[in-house]
Amino acid sequence: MRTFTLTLISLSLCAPSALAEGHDPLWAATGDETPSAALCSGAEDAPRRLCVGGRFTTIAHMHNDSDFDPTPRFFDPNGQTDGQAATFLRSYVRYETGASLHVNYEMEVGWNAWSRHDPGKPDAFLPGDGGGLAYRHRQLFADARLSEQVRVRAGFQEIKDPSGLFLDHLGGALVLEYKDANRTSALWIGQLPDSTYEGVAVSDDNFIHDNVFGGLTYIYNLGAHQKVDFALMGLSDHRAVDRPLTLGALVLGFRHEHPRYQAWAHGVVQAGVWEGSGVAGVDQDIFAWAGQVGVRSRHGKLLWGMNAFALSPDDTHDGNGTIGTFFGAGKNRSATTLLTEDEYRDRYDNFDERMGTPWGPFLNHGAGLAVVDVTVGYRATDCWTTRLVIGDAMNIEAANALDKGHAGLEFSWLNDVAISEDVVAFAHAQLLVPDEGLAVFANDVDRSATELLYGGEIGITARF
Amino acid sequence: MMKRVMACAIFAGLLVGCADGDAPDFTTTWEQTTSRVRTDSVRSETAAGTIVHNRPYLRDAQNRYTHIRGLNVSGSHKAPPSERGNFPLRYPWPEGEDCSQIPLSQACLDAPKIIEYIGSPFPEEDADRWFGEMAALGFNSVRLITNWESIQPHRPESCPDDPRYSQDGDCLDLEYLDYYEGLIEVADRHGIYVLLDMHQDVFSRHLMVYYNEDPKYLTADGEVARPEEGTIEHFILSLFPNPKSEGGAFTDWVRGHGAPRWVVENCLPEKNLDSPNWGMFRALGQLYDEDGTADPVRFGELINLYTKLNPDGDLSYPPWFLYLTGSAPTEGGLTPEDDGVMTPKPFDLTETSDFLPVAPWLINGAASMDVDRCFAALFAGDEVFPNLIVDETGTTRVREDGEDALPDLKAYLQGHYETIWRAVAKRGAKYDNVIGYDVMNEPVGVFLMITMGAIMAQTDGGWLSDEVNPVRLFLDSFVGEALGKNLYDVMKGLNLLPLPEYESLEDGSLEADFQGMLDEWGLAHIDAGAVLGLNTGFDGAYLEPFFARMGVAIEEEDPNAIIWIEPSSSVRTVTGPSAFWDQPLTRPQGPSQIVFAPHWYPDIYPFPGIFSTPREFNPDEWLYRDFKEPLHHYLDHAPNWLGNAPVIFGEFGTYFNFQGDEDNHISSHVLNSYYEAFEALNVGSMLWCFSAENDAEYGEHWNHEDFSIIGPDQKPRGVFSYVRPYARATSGKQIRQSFHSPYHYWDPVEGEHPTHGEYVLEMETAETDAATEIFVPDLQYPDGYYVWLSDGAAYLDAAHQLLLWYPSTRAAGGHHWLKIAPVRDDIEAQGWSYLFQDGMVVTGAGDPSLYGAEVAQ
Repeated sequence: MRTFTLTLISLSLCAPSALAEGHDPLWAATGDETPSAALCSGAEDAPRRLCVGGRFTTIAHMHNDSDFDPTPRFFDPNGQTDGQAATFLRSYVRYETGASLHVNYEMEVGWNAWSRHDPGKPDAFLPGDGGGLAYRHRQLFADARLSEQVRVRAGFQEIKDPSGLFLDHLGGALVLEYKDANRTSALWIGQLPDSTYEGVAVSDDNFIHDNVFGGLTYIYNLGAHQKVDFALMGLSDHRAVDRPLTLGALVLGFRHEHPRYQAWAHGVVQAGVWEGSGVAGVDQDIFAWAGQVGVRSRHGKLLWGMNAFALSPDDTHDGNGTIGTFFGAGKNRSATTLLTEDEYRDRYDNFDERMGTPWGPFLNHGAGLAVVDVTVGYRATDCWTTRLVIGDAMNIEAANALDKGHAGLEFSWLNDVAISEDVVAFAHAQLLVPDEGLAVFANDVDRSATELLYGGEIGITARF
Repeated sequence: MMKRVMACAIFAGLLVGCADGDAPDFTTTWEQTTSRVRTDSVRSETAAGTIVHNRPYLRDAQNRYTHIRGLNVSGSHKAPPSERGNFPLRYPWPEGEDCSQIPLSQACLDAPKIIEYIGSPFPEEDADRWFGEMAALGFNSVRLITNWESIQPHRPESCPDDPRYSQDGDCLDLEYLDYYEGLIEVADRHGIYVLLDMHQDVFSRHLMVYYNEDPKYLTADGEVARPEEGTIEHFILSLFPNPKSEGGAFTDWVRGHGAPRWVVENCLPEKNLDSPNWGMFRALGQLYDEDGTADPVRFGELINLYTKLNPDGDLSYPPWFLYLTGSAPTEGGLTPEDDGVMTPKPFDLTETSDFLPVAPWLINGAASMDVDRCFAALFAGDEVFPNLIVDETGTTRVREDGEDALPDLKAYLQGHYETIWRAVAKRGAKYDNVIGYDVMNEPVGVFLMITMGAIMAQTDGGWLSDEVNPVRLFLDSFVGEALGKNLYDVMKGLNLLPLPEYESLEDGSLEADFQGMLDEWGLAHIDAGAVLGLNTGFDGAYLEPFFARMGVAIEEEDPNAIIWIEPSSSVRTVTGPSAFWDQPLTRPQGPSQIVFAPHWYPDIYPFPGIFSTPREFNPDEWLYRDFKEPLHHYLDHAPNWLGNAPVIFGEFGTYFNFQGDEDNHISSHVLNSYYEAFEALNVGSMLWCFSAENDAEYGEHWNHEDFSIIGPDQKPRGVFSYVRPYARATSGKQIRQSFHSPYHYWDPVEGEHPTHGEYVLEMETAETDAATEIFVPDLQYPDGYYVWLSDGAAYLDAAHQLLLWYPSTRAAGGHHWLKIAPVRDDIEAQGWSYLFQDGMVVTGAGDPSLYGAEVAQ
């Protein structure tokens, strides 16, 4: 309540410049991106300087339920409601030796303030941790510029294919990048961690298994705003003893990136083999795909957009020598906040993750997944932007979800208020009309439960 | 590598689309579900040389640990098809003859002695159905019963001129062996291991005694009266046929199973198995004279016995006694001659066996001298009957000069026993699902009666009264004077002991035909010293060499044979190991692979009555029992005495006809308790029994036993106790498994949910890539089930109700676990890896080890 009151007060005090054109992302601030260093100890051309930056987010959410069935949990002392208040500090330090070498470090400290987010999970905010304050390393790498066009990055860093559907992780990599006016190409080789959350907990070593990836990304600039994306990447994963996974992915895509208009279309096909993993120890060949198309636009005060993505399902015979399930990063560009990842902080409770099966750093959807969303927004004042998101999700192969296809329909009303240039408060109202295709994965008792889920989240995020 | 190249090639050509595939290759896994199983050992090279340690496990061809969850098939084998429905004849009745009366008519006695075991346990055409049923119930193995008589029904020296029987001097029933082999083959198709079991119970079905299930007598006014069950008079009257007015027939018999008639004739050469009185209770032959007049001496002993056993009774003669003696006053025209007791004609001891028609038939193993003599002949014929040989005609007789080449009883009988085993092993060697050879079921190692007989023989009649005779002294020294006297009187009353009939001579002295008595009792050529030795070291001195001989012979025919052995039913069964004089069964030297397969029947034979109804239990006696501790008594034998052989309980089970247990709840509780103990101790077991032919009144058609899991309606009964999840094979050493059926007692704990339906399997690090196979019955999980895994992937072979688990981690000293819980509408299931429901699978958390998660068990 206190945060909400503060948000209301901030509406009257908001800074008109906060969402000025060219300064904000297309629509609104997001909290899950790496902050850029905002404060440096010297000029850009100084021989040595130290830059720091960060993002501070406090967020609280409350939902009536998490599994569409409000009956009290039989033996769960935490009850049925679902909520949490938490504060996160993500900070960034960069030591620059002129333009030739940058050493970067990013970390995050998060605090689980009260309650568990999802009684069905050990601790959704802090998976893998014992609870309490979590300290995670996010990035630690050196960026050496060898020439005007060539640079090398080495260390623990963001690893992402142009679509983000296959690779969008934090991992160890050596990247050789060539960039000129028309193209950006990069050779990658590195290791993906055993699991990727929002970084690696200080006490963890999640590089226990050999999981080597490599590949080539190529981005060709068709014009000032248009880009063609190409990537050919592969990995060799040995986490399953004597049953290595060899996986290749071809990414093709197109992007149009204009300050007032964005569009994207990407397709990913995967092929590979998971040796000895099927029934009777047969090798399982992987043939999988994913695709995503979307558009966002702003015309004056009107905002609109849509996104659709689909991840291929497995066939209906588990272990039969063929895997159709897409090995994905669990990331996408959907604007939904319940069906897919929340834009401020991944809590691992979004339903696309709950519907999936982790496989190392990837997420598999045995039933496949398709999510379509439409957004309509309006900049009501200079500092207040309101949006309505309607999204729908379905299982592509219903037989892998107890013959339940439709997953659910989400309505989210998202409000962002810029308090100052670097501070945004937000208040979101969320409603989910679940269907049995979602209850199959989310309800631990009644897999046909479809009662409404509603709630909201409020918070504040500040960049520095 | 080739796979990867191909994958890359496919990848290059693939732009969009998804692939579908066929069902998984469950055929291969199913074909591998049975394979030649072996016992395990480890070799250590040391400065002292190579040391070999046996491991107490069975391993299959995929190097998995094999776990036996078996059935004995079948109880009804003991009543062969050629005997069924032909009571009281052991062979088919001659056409047009009524053979219901005993003594049997000459026409009945002359009936062709057709012995047919084909069709037992079930006709070959039904084998698919029944093995399929067993597999559907989850049993992965059977102890397939056969017996000596099935394979060698006729004396080799007088083999029928019939191509059915081998004409090579062994006279083996080739058609039966084909049938038996066919069963092994069908079992293999259903994923069932087969243990070939040479069964016997108290030696032979030709050792037998008739009795009356519904004893009755006529009162003075001609009314039919029935004694109360459990009373002494009920016991005594059960030994007599029905009154003449009621048909004058016996209604049932108690008998053994195993050896053919010709073997019994060798063991008991003085006996006349062709006597019309064969099977009559022995004492009946001395109760009446030719014209039916009761013998006052014998009946005097009988009433004395009754008085001793019923000390609080009325001192006047009871009406049933007057009926039996024919001295009941008659009214209304009734006469003893027309309507009274069917008085048996006098017959000699040699015309019947000394079996007692007691419901716990096993008592005959201790109380029948005939049984004692047969086992003594088989195991120690050379020592106990050193002067007896078997001649070229197959006749047992005293050795004469120049007959050193003729075999003694042991050599003759064991030689033929070896022959039948070789014949069976030749067949078994062809099939990978043959898990072993059970050399002899429940050998009897109690030689109490023959010992007393031998003592009698040794004294040469040098005693004159009951008080000073050596048996009486023997009993007194063992159990005390008072009880010794009572026991002596009972034995005497039942004519169980050779007691000479003394006659007073004119000079006042007493005389008895002592040698004649010994001949009549078959004790004329007995060596008392050897008999005494049987009692103190049977298992070590006689049974173990027997197992070794048979095991070596079997192994010669089937080099992969595993020899299953069990201790004898002996004093040690009751007393347990004794540090002072014990000579237990130790590991037979010769056979390479040994399994110890004791039997375990706690509490099922409580009352030594005749046709005593099964025990009436208070359910509380069973509901909370924990059998782990008593089982340790058996489990300790293997490492202590048998070189750490694997232990698998070859038999256990319970009645299904407990009084008042129409829903089989007591039986189910009993079996559930047994299985919980077996599971906790990681020990295999074979349930007694499966019988396709179960009768509501006669059970498995043998001695009123009613243990079959198949009821009279030919449907499984008590299923929730034994149709339970278990690991058929594990890729790692099993640490424990448990299943809580609906019969498991759950003591509520605040904050914890009931564990009914939960199955947990733990094992050490997987040693092979082959699947851990877990039978998960639809019966226990009608709404589907969740699976939690420590690691790996699980796939469901729904057709065989098999969950195939492939662990994914291989850390040394690792620990894998798997949990199954039913889908329920009152308990949340969280963090599961898989949900199986209605033939579909939902993948939840999948393999936790793939993303570094540690999931609480």
